[in-house]
Amino acid sequence: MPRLAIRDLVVSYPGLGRPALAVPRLDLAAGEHVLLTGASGAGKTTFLNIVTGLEPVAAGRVRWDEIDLAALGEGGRDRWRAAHVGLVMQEFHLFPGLSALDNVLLPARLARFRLPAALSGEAERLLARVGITRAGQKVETLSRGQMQRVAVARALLARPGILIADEPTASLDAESGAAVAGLLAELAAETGATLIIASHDPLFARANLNRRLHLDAGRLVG
Amino acid sequence: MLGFILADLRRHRWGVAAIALIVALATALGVAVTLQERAMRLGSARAADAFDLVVGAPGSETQLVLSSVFLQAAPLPLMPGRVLAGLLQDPRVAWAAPIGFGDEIDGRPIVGTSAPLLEGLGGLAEGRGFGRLNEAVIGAAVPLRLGDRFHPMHGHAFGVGLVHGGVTYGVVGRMKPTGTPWDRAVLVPIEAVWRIHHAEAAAGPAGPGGAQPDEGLDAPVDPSALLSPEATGLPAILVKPRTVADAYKLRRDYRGETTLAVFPAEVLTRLYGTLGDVRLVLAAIATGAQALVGAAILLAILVHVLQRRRQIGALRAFGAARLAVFSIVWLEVVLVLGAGLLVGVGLGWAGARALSNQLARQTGVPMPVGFMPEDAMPLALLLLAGAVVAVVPAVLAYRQSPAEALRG
Ligand SMILES: Nc1ncnc2c1ncn2[C@@H]1O[C@H](COP(=O)(O)OP(=O)(O)O)[C@@H](O)[C@H]1O
Ligand SMILES: [Mg+2]
Repeated sequence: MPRLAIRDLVVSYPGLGRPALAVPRLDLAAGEHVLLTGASGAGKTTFLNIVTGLEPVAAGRVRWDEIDLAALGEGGRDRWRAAHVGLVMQEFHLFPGLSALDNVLLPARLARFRLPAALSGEAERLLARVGITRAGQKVETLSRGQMQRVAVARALLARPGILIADEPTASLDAESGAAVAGLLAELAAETGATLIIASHDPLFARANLNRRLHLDAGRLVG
Repeated sequence: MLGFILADLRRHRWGVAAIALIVALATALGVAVTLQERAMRLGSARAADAFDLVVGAPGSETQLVLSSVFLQAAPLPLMPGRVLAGLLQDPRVAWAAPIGFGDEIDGRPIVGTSAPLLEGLGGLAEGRGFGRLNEAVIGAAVPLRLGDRFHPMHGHAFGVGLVHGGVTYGVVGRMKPTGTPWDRAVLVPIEAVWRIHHAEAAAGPAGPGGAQPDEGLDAPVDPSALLSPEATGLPAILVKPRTVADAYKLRRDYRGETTLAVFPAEVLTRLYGTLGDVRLVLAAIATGAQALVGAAILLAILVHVLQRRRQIGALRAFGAARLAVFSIVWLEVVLVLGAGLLVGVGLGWAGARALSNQLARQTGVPMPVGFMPEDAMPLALLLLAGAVVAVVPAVLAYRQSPAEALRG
């Protein structure tokens, strides 16, 4: 499982007096479960965007094992992310009109010409694992908690070594949020993936995450 | 990927249908202009086929052709009766027949002529030719039966239609279909037309009760009456030359002070030149409409793609290839445009068909509506333009940053 090593990372946005994010040095061990906290605007999403390759690294180095994201172009980061990162966001980004199963398979379908036959079975297995029993149900008819479960299944389809969740419970009620939080930790443990959850939901404070990072105005503290 | 595109199109089916419909209508406009112009050109050319050479009094060549071939009522100047006599005796002439415009029956022209024209236009389908002056042969499309009797009415040239109370024709034969306006005509001996109008002229401005000697028409047709140098003046004579060389000599000889000889085909070709100019104008209008529609559609699609940038960008964040995002948008646009184009071709064809059928009913000239291989070219160009235009929203989606898309 990949290890993360960040050196001298600085992310600035025009119009913002200080850097949105400044991380001189950070190392995460493979398979670590990390909770990233911080006030709104502290830089959590910016951090996740950088380590998932969604945004280019302007200054510094961000290495996952041997891969330096700073050295990859946009297409290279897309391909690397498709192969190594599973993403769960606050919004589900599911496509209405498609079934739960088709939503789980959609990114894979749009990443290669032919879907490997085994992938469809894997998607059904994952849906069952996250508690979705009717894989053929159209996603717009699911409850919000179920939608986020489908999103979790989609994040795991490519068996990513890195699982990233940005405020995964913020748009759910407490019960569904707890279930999704539990699922993320369980599934990361099952697959051995490195897990980073950005959230200020207190329920994660009780969760069994072995490392905490706190962002304050773009700087890591503690 | 195609499954996703279809699901996506289905989800936006009303907007998609509206866009496809607009594209279809713009395409139909262009297709209909092309097809209709061709149908009119082919139809009228075929109608003029049987008419080798037409001789009339000096005046408008176009009017002479329109009146003789297409039986468009118009007051033509007359040429002296001896012209027909001269043509009938000319060794270069296979046959010649007068064309005299009589009255009408239920909006269908009654044309005075002679027996050779019946043969020359294709012959009879049933019955026999006229043997007496009060006998008539009807065109294939005239809704009368053999044995029917009818009273002619004055043509529109005389204002309100007046029944010639005393005159009655009996139908004795029906022509084979000719595919010309003559299918709508009623043919009677030219002498009958002459006699009716002589009688009227003698009676002065006759009212409905004016003296018309019906018994004057109850006489056998006399071919020698046409040879008389004192024969009444004629608006037009249809001439069948023996050879092509004869045709050119006859045309030269009969273009002079008293007569005008024309090849209808030649006059039509000149008319088509004008028609072609009109077509160009219409085609330009259609192209302009298509360009406007294209711009409007592009705008609609751009707005649509901009609204959906989050959705589309999100696809990439979750692992979709950048090229796939491009292809989805491009294919969706091309599919919608292509569908609109196909439907538009069908609509244009149907529209031209409807219009041509209507015109054919009115004029008696069948107008063949059909596609030619060269029609594929502008359509292919249109599709190509659509494919190029579709690149714009596709590039927008391609360049959409997934991080921004996720932030929303
Ligand atoms: N594209 C951008 N342009 C300018 N400023 C941005 C942009 N993205 C984020 N920021 C700013 O960077 C800071 C960190 O934002 P973010 O990482 O979203 O915080 P968090 O996720 O912790 O709420 C905020 O002040 C935000 O306004
Ligand atoms: Mg955030």
